[in-house]
Amino acid sequence: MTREQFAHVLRVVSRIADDPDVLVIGSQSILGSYSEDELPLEATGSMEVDTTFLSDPEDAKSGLVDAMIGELSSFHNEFGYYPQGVSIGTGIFRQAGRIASSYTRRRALSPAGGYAWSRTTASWPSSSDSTRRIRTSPSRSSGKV
Amino acid sequence: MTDLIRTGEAARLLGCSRQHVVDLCDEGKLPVVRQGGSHRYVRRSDVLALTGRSLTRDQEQSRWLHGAIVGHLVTEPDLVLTRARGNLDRFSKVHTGTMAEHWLDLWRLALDSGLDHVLTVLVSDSPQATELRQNSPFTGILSEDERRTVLDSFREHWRTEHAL
Repeated sequence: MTREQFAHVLRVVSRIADDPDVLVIGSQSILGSYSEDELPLEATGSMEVDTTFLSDPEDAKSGLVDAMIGELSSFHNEFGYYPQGVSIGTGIFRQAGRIASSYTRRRALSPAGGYAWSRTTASWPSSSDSTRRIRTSPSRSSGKV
Repeated sequence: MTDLIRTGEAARLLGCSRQHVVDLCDEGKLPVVRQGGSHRYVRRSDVLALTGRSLTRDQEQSRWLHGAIVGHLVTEPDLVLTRARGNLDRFSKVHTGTMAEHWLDLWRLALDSGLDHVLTVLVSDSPQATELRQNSPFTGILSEDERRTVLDSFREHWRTEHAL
């Protein structure tokens, strides 16, 4: 998966869940900080992005993401990649308070500028302010959902 | 090839410290596939094997969705395989130069190996079949209603049979 595809998935996930904070779990989260050109082949993972939300009672948002644009959906069929809504209750975050050695918390596109904010940190709640501002190239993503 | 993860992520999957994962690597109980700088990479499937779990929830859900594909494949094999091949061509262009392209190439080999082999890959719990399904060309076969019915059935199945 490329960083542009990654950004596209997060924008749509954010819109469907009506939540600007999308948490990306697993190896694809590195695309929040680096483009595929800067990464070894293995780090470009698959056509799937595991996403969840810091606030997702009953896994409603993750379930909605799966139902609307998840695996084998029309979104997957059209673009060739998709998000996987991950349930926080499935054991990913067993170690409460210290959940992720690497994750991307990313605000979806701002209404005005076509920018996204990506943050990686060593633990959660956040212990780092290593926020980066990256351009997601509105012109290249025009025509997409 | 399989999905490679760092020792920190392996520690989360195992519910242990990163140092314990490093110890497992040093003792040869968890193979280190690649080492770059200060980072070690291990296979996710090797880590999951240590946990005693066969498939994660999302992997199991993927298998259910592809189980529904099997129903179409055995009744309309030519239609389903033709669509899958068309998707392979489209998706390969989308994923040129990434790991997904590698999985799509493996799908092409699987389709060339015959219907029986494809049926096996669609529902097998082997690590490679699991990775293949997460890079699937079998889109545009299930209707949205059918797909959501499978997801609803799976959710109920997981809630009743895999509750933590």
